[in-house]
Amino acid sequence: MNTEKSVIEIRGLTKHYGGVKALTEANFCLAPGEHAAIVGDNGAGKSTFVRLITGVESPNSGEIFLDGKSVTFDSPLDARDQGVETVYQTLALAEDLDVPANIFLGREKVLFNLGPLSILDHKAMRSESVQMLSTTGVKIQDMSETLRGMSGGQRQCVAIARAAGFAKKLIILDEPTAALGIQETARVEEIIKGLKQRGVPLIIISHNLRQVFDLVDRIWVFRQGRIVASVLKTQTSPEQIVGLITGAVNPDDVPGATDLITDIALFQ
Amino acid sequence: MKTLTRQEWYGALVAVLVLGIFLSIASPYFLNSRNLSNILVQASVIALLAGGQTFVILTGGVDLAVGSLTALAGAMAGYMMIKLGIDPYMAILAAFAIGAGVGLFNGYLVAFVGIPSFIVTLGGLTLWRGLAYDSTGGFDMSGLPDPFPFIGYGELFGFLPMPIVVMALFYISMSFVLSSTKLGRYVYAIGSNEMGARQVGINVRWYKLGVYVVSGLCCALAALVLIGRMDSSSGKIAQMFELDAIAAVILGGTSLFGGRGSIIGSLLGAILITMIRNGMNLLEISQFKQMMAIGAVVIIAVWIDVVRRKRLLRK
Repeated sequence: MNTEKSVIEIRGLTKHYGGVKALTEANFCLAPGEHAAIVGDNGAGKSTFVRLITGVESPNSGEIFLDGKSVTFDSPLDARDQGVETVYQTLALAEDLDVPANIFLGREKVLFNLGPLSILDHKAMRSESVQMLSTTGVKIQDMSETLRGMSGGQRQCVAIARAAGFAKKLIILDEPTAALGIQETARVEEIIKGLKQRGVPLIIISHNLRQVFDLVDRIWVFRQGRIVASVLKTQTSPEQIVGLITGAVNPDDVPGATDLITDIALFQ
Repeated sequence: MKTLTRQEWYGALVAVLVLGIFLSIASPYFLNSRNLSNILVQASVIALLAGGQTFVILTGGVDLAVGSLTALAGAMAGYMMIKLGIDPYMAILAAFAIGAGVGLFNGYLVAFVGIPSFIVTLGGLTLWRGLAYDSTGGFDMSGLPDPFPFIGYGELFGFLPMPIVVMALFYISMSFVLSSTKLGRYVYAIGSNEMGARQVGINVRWYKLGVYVVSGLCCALAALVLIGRMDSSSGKIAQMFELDAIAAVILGGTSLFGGRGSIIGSLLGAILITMIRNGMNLLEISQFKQMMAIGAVVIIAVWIDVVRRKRLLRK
């Protein structure tokens, strides 16, 4: 595996809490423009993995490379500043503020920088928000409406548009449709497909295999704190993925499933 | 832009107009420029306190100590000028320093230690009142030096009472701060979703601390206007003003749960409370019944807030 070509590459990422091995020697990579899914049972290490690559926690060992450069994240903000945008399940939106205020929340454009009394540039934020929403394909009728009046799907779309608008390297979506109805899920999936067309690299954590097969190029399977398989969607089936998740299928029996993982391991 | 009827302060505006019409009919003394100007002057101190309180309530907190802090700042300023002979402008600075200092104290305990604002400021309610009495020996200081008579009784251009001028300038700047600065934006964000505000990188602790400092500074400003108007200061001024200030904010449509509301609503709320008192005085309703009426108004305002919140959440 050539690190120069990966948007993000992870080598030997390990996190142990006392005797609990939450994640051991995880190897992972994402090609430019690639959409990848992270799947696995509860407690398989998905959440730990995501917390480590978004700066929420620090690993015991292992390395993260962004565009071939070794990086460390001190905090979620640090990860964000280095180009990794995350849409959390909780969305991190302020329901009582309008759409532009939410899109620029925490990174407002200002006319004069006076610390806490910095004067906001309402006009620029509004026009850039319109731009961001239309690039991402999100339709909002009234920009000055607060989010409280909007559906869960619309809020999710605003959060994704925000991440897509600011992401310099990649976007991570944590269970983006877990709380949504069928129609709303379809809408959010359309937005994600749009990001694929624009070549925005993305990692999605999802329990919904139908969705995973519909949206991504490559599937990474977590099992018992390890990444056990990495397969192209076109070379596998939902049954095989379920087998890998539960342990019924041995990754070594799946052609090519461990190639990438062992390749990355060679670089350590 | 939100239409007029959907503004949080719309209800307060309607209430002010309806009550105004009612009082104009019920009392011959209500509708004249002197009484109306008098109402605004009387509303000024509560309005200043309500302005600072708005910041605190928008973040989902509450400041119960504003009456006591006003007394502390006012009593200390008077004591310095009259007993210690300190320059009035230095005393004004000292009042602001006291306001900011107590604000820092409250904000630190709420934002950094994690004690609920209700408890911190309930303790402060008696703590600062006690300090106000103790530090000034419990005496009244009267006959304040310049510029206090001007602050209390002066008229700009010969017809605009200074308390109204102070109140107007205060509200113009505060509404700008809330609508167009980072502080204002983050106050709403923290009140809407504190956890989310933290996730997007807002320094929630410092901004929460900030709103208590804003409230403390407002108390100092209110104290200066109040002692100017009374031409005296003591530890017993501004009794129960916290109730009127909080009531003004809630009547103005700001939600006790945080995140929703406006500063203009608080101004209307302060005017509304003062009109209720003024109207009851004109109609010769007893002090006891007035106490009951104000208490009932506060409960009804919170009632409306709770019902409105439930309806919003259901949507």
